[in-house]
Order: sequence, then C-alpha cells, then structure tokens
Amino acid sequence: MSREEIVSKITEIFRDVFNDDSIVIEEAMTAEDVEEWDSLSHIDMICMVEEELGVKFITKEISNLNNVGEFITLLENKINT
Amino acid sequence: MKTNTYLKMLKIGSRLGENNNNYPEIRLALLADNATQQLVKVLKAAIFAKGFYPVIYEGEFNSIPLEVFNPESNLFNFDPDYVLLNLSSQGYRERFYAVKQEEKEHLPENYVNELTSYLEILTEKQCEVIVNTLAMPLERFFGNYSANTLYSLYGSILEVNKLIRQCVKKMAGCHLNDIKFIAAHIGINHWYDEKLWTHSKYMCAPKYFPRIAESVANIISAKKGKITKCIVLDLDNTLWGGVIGDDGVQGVEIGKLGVGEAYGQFQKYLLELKNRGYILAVCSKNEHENAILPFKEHPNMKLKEEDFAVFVANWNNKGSNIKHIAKVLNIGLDSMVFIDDSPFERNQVREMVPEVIVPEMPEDPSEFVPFLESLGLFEAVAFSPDDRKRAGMYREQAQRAKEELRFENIDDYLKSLDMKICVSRFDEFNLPRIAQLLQRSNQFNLRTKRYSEQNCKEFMKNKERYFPLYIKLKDKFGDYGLISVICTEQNHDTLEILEYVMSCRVLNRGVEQFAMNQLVEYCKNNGLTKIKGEYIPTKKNKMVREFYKQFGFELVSEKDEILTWMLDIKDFKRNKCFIKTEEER
Repeated sequence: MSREEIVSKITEIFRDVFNDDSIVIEEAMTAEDVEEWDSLSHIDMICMVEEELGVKFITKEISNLNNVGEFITLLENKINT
Repeated sequence: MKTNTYLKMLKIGSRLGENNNNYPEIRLALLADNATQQLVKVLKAAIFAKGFYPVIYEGEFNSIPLEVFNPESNLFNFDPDYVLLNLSSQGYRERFYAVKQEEKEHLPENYVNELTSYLEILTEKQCEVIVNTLAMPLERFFGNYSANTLYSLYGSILEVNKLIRQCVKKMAGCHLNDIKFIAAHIGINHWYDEKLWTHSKYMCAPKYFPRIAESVANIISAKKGKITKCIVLDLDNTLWGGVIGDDGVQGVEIGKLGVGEAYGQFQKYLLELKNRGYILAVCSKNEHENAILPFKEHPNMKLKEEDFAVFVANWNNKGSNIKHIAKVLNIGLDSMVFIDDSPFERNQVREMVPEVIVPEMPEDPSEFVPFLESLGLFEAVAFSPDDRKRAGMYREQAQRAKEELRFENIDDYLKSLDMKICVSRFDEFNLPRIAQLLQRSNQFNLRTKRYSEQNCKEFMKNKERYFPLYIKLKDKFGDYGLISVICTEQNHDTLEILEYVMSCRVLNRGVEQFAMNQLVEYCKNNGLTKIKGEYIPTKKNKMVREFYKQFGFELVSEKDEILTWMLDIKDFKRNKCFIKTEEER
C-alpha cells in the first residue's frame, strides 16, 4: 500500500473519529492541531486503524507518537513487511 | 462486531441533548474498577434506544467502596434508581496477584463478601443493582487443571462467578449482567485487548462496549416492564420445511427429513420459551385443516396444537390477524414478536402494525435460534412457578373467546362450557381464600363489609345463626377456583344477606342464578319465608346496584343511596342454569 493510499484511508478515519470533515492530513500534524483528538478518542482512532488497515499496534506505539508523519511511516512499515 | 458500531453509539451517546421525546428518565450510577468514560456514552445510547432517557453519574475510577460506604458521597447525592457495578477480570487479577499464596484460596469468598456488602447498602437505599460475572481469563497456570484449583486465576474466577450468581439470586433488587457469557460469545481471545488495559485500563476492546451496554439496557428495560410476551409464528418454512398445502404431511421436512433437524431444534427451543411463560400463537396463510395436519399427524413435531394459545390459519393479511390475536389475548402489540421466513409477510406486518417486533430472520433454519438469541428479546428479571402456568391460562382465555363467537345463542354456549360448580358451607381449609376474596372484590360486592378471616370463622362455626357459602367453578377449559362468597344470617323468618361477592371473571355464566336457587332452597328447608338483600354503594360497585331485581326482589327502602331489597320466597321463579353440581374434592 502506497503512502498516498494510507493517507487517504486515515483521512477518512480521522474525520470520522474526531468528528471533523475538514481534517486534512499533514505530516507535521499532532493531537494539538485537532480539536477532538484527546486521550480517549486517540484509542478509538487506534482501534479503527487496526481494523480498517488490518494491523496491530504494540503498547509502546500507541503511547509514543510524535506526529502524523511518523504514524504513517509506522503504518507503511507494518503493512508492507 | 465492528468498531464502527461502537463509534456510532459513542456519537449518539455524547450528543443526546434534552429529553425532547419525554421518555421516562433512568437515573443510573456507574461504578467500576476500569476506565468507563467511553462506556458511559455507549450506555446512554443503548438506554436511549430502548425508549428511556438516561441520566448517568460516573463514579471516580476504582472508588467503589469510597462511594458506597459514605452516605454523603456523590453517588448518594445523585440519588440513582439503578447502580451498575462494572467489574473487570483484570481488576480481580490485580487482587489475585497481590494476596499471599496461602490466602489465595479465600480470595473468591472475600471478594464476593465485599461485593455483597456493597449490594446490601445499595439495595437498602432502594437502588436496583446490576452486577456482572467476570470474563474468564486467558491465564491458566495449571493448563487444563486450572479449573480445579483456587490457586489458579482461572479456577479462582470460576469460583467468584459461582459466588456472584448465588449472591445476586438471593438478594432482591439485584440483577446479573452476564459478562462471562458475552465475552465467551465473542471469544475471550478477541474480547481482551491487553495493550488497552496496560495503556488506559480498558476491560475489553472498546468495540465490545455496545455488547455490555445493550445487555445492561435489556435488564433495565425488562425491569421497567418492557418485555415480550407472545411469539407469533408462521408455519410453512418457519416451523417445518416445505409447504403443507402442497407437500402434504409426508412431504414436509421436520425431524429426520432434509433440513428437518433444524426445524426440530427450533421447535424445541420454542417449547422451552413456552415452558418459561411465553405465549405461542400461529399466524399462517393456509387452509385451517391443512395447517393443523402436521400437529395432529406428524410424529416428529415437537410442538403440539395445545402449545398454542391462538391458532390462526386463513388467507387474511397477517397484520389484521396479529391485531386479532392481540385482542383475543388482551396483550399489547409491542409485546409480540412475529417470526416468518417470508420477507413479504414481515414487511407487511411492519407496515401495518409497527409496534410488533419483526426480526429479519436468516435464510437458514439452522441459524434461527442463534440469531433470535442475539437480539436479546427474551430477558427475564425473575422466574416463578406462576410464570410456567401463564401460557396455559392465556390459552384457556383465548378458547373461551373463540367458543363464544361460534355460538349463535348464549344458552347453547353456556351448555357447551360443561360447567361444574361446587357450593359449600365455609370450611377451615378454604377460609384464607374466602377472606382474600372478601378483601379483594370491588365491583361485584354488594355491601363491601370486608369481613376478616376471623369473622368468617365465626360464621362457619355458628350453624344456628349463619349460612355462609363459598362457590367454586370450573369448565372444560380450566379451573377458576373459589370465585364467590355469600354470607347470610337467619333473622326470624328472614334470611339476610350480609355480604355477597363474586369474581367478575365468571359474570354471566349463570353462577349468580345457581346461587340464588340454592339460597331459596335453604329457606324452604328451614322454614324461612323471606330473603333480605342490601346494596351499599362504593366508588366501584355500581354494577350490582340493581342486582337483586332480576330475581324478583322488591325495593323496600332507599336511604342515602343504600337500597334494601326483599324477596318473598313464594314469588320466586327458579332460575334456568347450565351448571352441574360437583362435590368438593
């Protein structure tokens, strides 16, 4: 799955989980930039991504995310290996 | 179950707004040893979906004893109707690991004793409490042997669940939320998401919160009286495979033939529901004589004709037939579940009677039972011997209604009922029921004297002065039991009726006529010439104001709405009635 495809999939998930259809994924984006992205909705988002993209995260990965760019790279590695 | 379903409920729950529909309010407090911020929202959505407006108080994380033992706590200030104790296996696991090896054996008992003390306090405060069984753990330190020892977490939780069940069963106001079942149904390997326990103390993957919430909502809803009572069943391809009108008794699939095994299983399942008090009814597009054939002739049919309270087989549309069934049984449409393999019939019933629950049945009859089970339609808050009898009582009632329609004239109908009456002087054995009827009867009650059991005993003993009667009735459909009481006193040449009550269920069957014949007979045999009856009005007994008139009584005085009636025995014309006497058993 290409980086673009991943971005398009998680855009949908972010919009749904964080209740904002105007969300546009950017590499530098963090939870600070999205109004409804808090610790609770973070877990909902993780669960949605696991289900929709068929991946599993480990505990460390859900607690230490610096920005969305890193998250996409993480997904890229999980999906394509 | 998809995460999407969870997200949808989460959104509904967090945007509930005001109670614009005027739903009845449910005040629920949620106390837990795990993270419940999201569960609360899902719970709101589930309760709302049942037609209630939830107001939920969420206790602080892991503070059950602090809330319960402090009468001034936020919990009690909130004043909940329901308290949900949501307990996690992980919470128990922490306790298990924390106790010393030699104390492990006592942990289940100690844990449930603590729980019992919470339940006692909460039920004392008139809260309904919902408490769960624990999901089975993945840890089995002893392998298969784990179930045998309290030194394994697995065996320990098995024991805890047993003790929780026992505790809930004996405490009024406590209800079991069977999370052990829910987790097993999903599969515990999927149920748990250990990284979410580690990270945020989630007792299970959040996509299963809706399952917990719906289970709780089912309990509350049933407790509030929203229960289904009647299952209306189609026949062809629902109770058996094939079409009886085309395939004949030999051709329909039931039991061994074809997919008959699956229909047999479905019938056995329905029979169990009937045994626990569900009313079964048939609503089929068929000729009646065809529809009835498999019940009469097919050896593998588990359900028999007499298992159904109402049997409707005709060519009318099913919506009208279901309305008719509801009327005959005198139950609400919203307490009925309609099961039919045909999407056409299901849709038509949904259109015509939207109150009726119409499950979208799967194509494969093997899936009928697991599918119906998944809908949570058959919630019970209690089970008593009376529940078992209920289905039979509805059947009797429906049959009487049916017979009444068939007869052109009422005498023929009364004759056909094959009524047997037992009229007897008061006896010790029947005194409690006699007194009860005197306390309870409101409408058919001439003087509303409310004589006590002690009074009745006096009537019984003093044979010189009193002639007190009770009446029992049965007919070919069933036994009504003790349905009328007449207390009379001899006063010179007059028999005075001190009290006369009857259950309205047996009105217009000829019981009153039969009883009056008996009274007159008694007068003749004992040299009495008159019967005196009095009517004292209450708010509810208007129906018997003129009761004595029909037997030839004369109104002799009317004072403060109190009517006094007199009958001269020689003016009495014996009443015609269609009841045979039967000696008391």
